[in-house]
Amino acid sequence: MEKEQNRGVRQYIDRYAFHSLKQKPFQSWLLGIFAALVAFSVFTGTLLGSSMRSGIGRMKERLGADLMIVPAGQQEKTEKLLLTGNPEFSYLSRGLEKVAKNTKGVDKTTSQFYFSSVSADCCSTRVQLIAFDPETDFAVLPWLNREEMEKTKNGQVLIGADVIPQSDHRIKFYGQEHPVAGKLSRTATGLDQSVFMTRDTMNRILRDAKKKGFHFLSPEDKGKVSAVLIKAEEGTSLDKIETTIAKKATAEGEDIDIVRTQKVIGTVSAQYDFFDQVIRFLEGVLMIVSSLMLFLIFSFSFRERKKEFAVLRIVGVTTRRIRRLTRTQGVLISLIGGLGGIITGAVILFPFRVLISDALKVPLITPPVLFVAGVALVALLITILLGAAAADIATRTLGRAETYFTLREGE
Amino acid sequence: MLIKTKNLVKSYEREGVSHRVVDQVNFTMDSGEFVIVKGTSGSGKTTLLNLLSGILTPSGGSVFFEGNDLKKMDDRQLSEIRNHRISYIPQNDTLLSTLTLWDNLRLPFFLGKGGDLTVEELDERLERLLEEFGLSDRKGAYPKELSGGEIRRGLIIRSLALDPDLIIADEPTGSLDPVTTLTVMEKFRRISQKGIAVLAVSHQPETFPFGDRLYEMKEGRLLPAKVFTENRIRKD
Repeated sequence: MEKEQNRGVRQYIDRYAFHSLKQKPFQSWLLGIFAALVAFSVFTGTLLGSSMRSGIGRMKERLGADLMIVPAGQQEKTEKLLLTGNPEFSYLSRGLEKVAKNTKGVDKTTSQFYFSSVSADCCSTRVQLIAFDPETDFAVLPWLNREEMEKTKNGQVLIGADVIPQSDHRIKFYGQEHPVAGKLSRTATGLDQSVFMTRDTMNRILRDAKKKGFHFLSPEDKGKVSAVLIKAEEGTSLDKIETTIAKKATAEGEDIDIVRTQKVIGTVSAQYDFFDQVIRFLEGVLMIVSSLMLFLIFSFSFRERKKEFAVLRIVGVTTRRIRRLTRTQGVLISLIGGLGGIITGAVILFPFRVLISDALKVPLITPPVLFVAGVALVALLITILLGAAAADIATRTLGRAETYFTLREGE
Repeated sequence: MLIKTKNLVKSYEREGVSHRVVDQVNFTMDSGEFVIVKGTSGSGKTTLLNLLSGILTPSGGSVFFEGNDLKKMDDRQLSEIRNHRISYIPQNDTLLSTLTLWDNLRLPFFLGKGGDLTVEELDERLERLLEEFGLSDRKGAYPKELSGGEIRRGLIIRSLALDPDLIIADEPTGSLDPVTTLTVMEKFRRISQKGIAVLAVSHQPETFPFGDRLYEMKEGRLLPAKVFTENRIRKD
């Protein structure tokens, strides 16, 4: 060890390893590409799985309600609204909120009203607008701090994570600008493309919309809502609540559908399970194929370098040190390739998160920076270990008796 | 006794038949001796040198270096001997193409056990040898930029870098012109006069008088051919 420190053995080995790799650029590139594939598959596979899990978890939390009463025929549209934020509207009587509230096993009820802005000069952007009742709400307000809550109650709006306000933190709907009270954290659902407000603010916007020629609903018709959200008491059968409410609604002459948010989540979860398995399978295949290729290319490369190893043997280099040399080359190439794979993964995964989420139809939440850094580090370590192991095994297969014969080749 | 062989045998299987390439060789060498082995192609010269330097393991008999049987040594011990006790110069060019001449010369020190020298001592020694062998201005060159003679001289410098006890050279003048051949043999003679034993294989008659003893390898057997007493006298 002392000799190594004093004589700069490490630096010499590193320089030697680097020069040997530089000498065979094509093989080095190939090795780098397969090392990059290992790191890419571990990094993106792990992050994608984790993003999907977080997305579904956040979706469960943010939906808040167990059941949603919607107008008949709107079940699918509501699911679509929750998942993609694509607004489709029809309305039902607000009286149903009271009906639901008085049903046994129901803990909380609140109502929401959905409409949208338009892609025209009058509006900053086309988004889904969701009005809630601040007196009874349990789906939006719990996510706000006190200041945001006050501002929202005083007529400001809340924007979803993907909504971009104007530079002065205002957003324009139907010719009128509205200050933004805050931005909600990401849910990776349609709620990220939504703007939330109280019913009072909504009424003002509806009046502005009417002036511009958009007739969603009469602002005076306060008896209409888009959905009634129900939070059931812990341990209560949702089937029972659903049946009771359906009966009562029919008796009141209301034609309704009841959406189980769990079902929406269940559909997404099933998709997640499928993609998770596909990703794990692809990750495994990529890792095995890449590791095998690393081993094969190293073996091929080392066979071409048999004469070099024979020279090392005759000047008194131990087989152990030769293995250390080739391992250093394995580490060097997988470090460079691994970093390339991780950077490529990050470049694909982060900027295109929304596109990937849309394509997979599964919500994606980007994990915290520290977690991403941890995954990158683990991916890099796995790649380096695989590269070093492939180089080491390839060296072992060369055999000891080669020296004499290699030196005599071409005589 | 620096090196000694006892009933040394090396056989190879070829098409199911065993061939003795080295057959019952008994041979000794002392420090400072310069021994030359001649022989026709395929007579077993190179195999003998590889057995003496511990690269090949004998099929029978033993090689003793300072009384220690090479066969009983592990890879680490054998590597240590090859690194700074027995320097082996193979017949062909064995400078590494990826390294400059200077880095090639430092190779045994950095990648092997390296003896008791410090880096400063090694560099000083190498500078002196480069000067002595007329390669001072070529140390930054890569092997492909060196001539055959320069490569040979480079290999000799590499073999001397760690102050070995024995240099084994396989046809060190094989590809050289007559003038360079004599220069290289003169260098070996001087090296042996400094106390380092030199064992060289050669088939060029003009090189034989440089040695103290001449042997001939014939069908695997090592036979004494001539003793050059005048060299002994000159050395004394």
